[in-house]
Amino acid sequence: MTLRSDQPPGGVGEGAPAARVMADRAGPALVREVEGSSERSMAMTVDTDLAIETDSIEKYFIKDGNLNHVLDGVSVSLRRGELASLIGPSGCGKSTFLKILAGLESYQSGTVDVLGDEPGSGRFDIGFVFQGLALLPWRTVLDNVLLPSEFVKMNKGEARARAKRYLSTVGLDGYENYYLREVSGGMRQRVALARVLMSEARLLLLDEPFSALDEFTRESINMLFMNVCAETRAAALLVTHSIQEAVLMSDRVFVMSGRPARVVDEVEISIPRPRSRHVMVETAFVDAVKRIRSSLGLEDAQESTVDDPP
Amino acid sequence: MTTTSPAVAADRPTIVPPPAFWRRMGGKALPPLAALTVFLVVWEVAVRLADLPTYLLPKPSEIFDAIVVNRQELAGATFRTALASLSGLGLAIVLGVAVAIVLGMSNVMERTFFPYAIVLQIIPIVTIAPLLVIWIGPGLQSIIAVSLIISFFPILSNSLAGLHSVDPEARSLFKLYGASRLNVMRRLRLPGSMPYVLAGVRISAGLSIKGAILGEFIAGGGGGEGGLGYLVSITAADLQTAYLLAAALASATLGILYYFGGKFITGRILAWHESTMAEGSARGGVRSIGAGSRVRTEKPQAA
Repeated sequence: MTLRSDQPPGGVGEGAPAARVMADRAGPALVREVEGSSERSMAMTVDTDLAIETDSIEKYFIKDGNLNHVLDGVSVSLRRGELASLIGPSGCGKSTFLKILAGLESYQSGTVDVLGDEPGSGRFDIGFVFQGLALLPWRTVLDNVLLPSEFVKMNKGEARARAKRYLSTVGLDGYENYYLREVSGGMRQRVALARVLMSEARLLLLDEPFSALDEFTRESINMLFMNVCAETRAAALLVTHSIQEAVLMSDRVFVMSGRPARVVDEVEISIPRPRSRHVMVETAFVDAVKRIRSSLGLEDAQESTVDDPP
Repeated sequence: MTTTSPAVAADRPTIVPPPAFWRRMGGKALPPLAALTVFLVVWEVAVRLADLPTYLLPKPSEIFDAIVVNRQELAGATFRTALASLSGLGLAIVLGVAVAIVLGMSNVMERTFFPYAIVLQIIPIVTIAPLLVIWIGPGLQSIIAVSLIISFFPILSNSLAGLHSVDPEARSLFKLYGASRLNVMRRLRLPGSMPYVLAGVRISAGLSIKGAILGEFIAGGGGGEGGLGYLVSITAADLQTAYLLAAALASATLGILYYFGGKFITGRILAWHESTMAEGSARGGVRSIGAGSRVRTEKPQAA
């Protein structure tokens, strides 16, 4: 089941130079050490090896004097090293859920456990890639990647060396001194990815960061991201609107309903890794897409309401 | 077009560099200069034909004479006005940004004190200026103070707007990092507000000259040590209209210098910003081929 642990490091790869990530493991991490890979393989049975565990989260907010029920008992668990997607109709609260995990939003009831801790600020073990990327345009590419290192005690030269390594991981060698407005949208995504890697997070939360990209760029970023996750063994939860993308990338897909959002289905994707876009014609892939479509209430093409899943 | 053999190399696109700086500026400056020339000629001819006395409306040639004759006095006055206005502007930048940071760090402070900054802006400066003379004495210090007061508000309000215009996601990112308020200010809000701050500075640069001249009107500074404002007040009293207009011309020239100086500095500081995109970046990186250059795909004409 824990397919990704079985992959030999470095054996994954579709063009992206992700191999150097492992070499960096030796350097001082910004986060506390996590369990070794031998323990990781027992992930199925050991509960403490969870990256995310939430239990019946309820979230409300007040808008124009009305009480809005956003999340209705959302329970999700994700093992360390797993890559999962969160899919659902727009505005259903996927982003809100992700922000709760990162400690950026409050919730009214339920329990949240992220990498063995409650959410809160100052968590460098959680990497968040925002929809708008939250890059700092007055900084160069390199200085953007260096940002997380400025909040911890870290040797400057060492930080620069590490930032350059991660820039090379995401394929941005030679772009260190460019300003963001001088590079393309796809390259900015790579900068954001390199910055997340810089903090050596064990859990990556991605809030639709690839949605603004064209199909080709998006595909290559998806592949790069899968490789990076495989190499760093970080768990990842990706909010997306694209069913295909969710299935292609994930070990499991959480399907959410419209507001108030519940998890209406959890689909395990057991297509072996490494995956390329060619798996998109395999039966397992097509079946998973079909199941998610029906969970979203999209099976009848005429029907556009996705608010009432079966 | 499809082959790249050396034989047809001349047919490949070649980049024609933009014209040299002065030619480019000449091209831009030509229409307004032509209009100015026509205007001056009409002025000169009309005054000659109407036979107006010099004190009422001097001819452009008389203004030119006044500049030449009084060039030393005029240059000295312009220099003193520049000194006073740059001092006022400098202080306004330091104080404006500092106060903006303090108000921006705390909602309570902003709600308490920003209204008074608006009041300071609303009170006509001519009513405060005599008070300043009484308090800190006539001369340079009062002139600088008037220039400072008049330049302060645009910088403060622009900087404050800039400090509040933070990308909410970037703010969330800093929260995730557990950044202190000071760190958020230093690494996120202040650098992000620079386009706003500099827009305020550019507005205030022009105002600082007005403030200095007004200050010189009121706080004087006689004995051949006055600035342009002082010069204007005495030449007006003596009906030296040509000289008066020469002084006006000098203050306008100063304003134009400030404008281009401000533009130059803004371009240097905001190399990262979209507003300077056409200028090319200061630290290398991607450069467009350059405004004014063309890509020629045909064989150039034999010259």
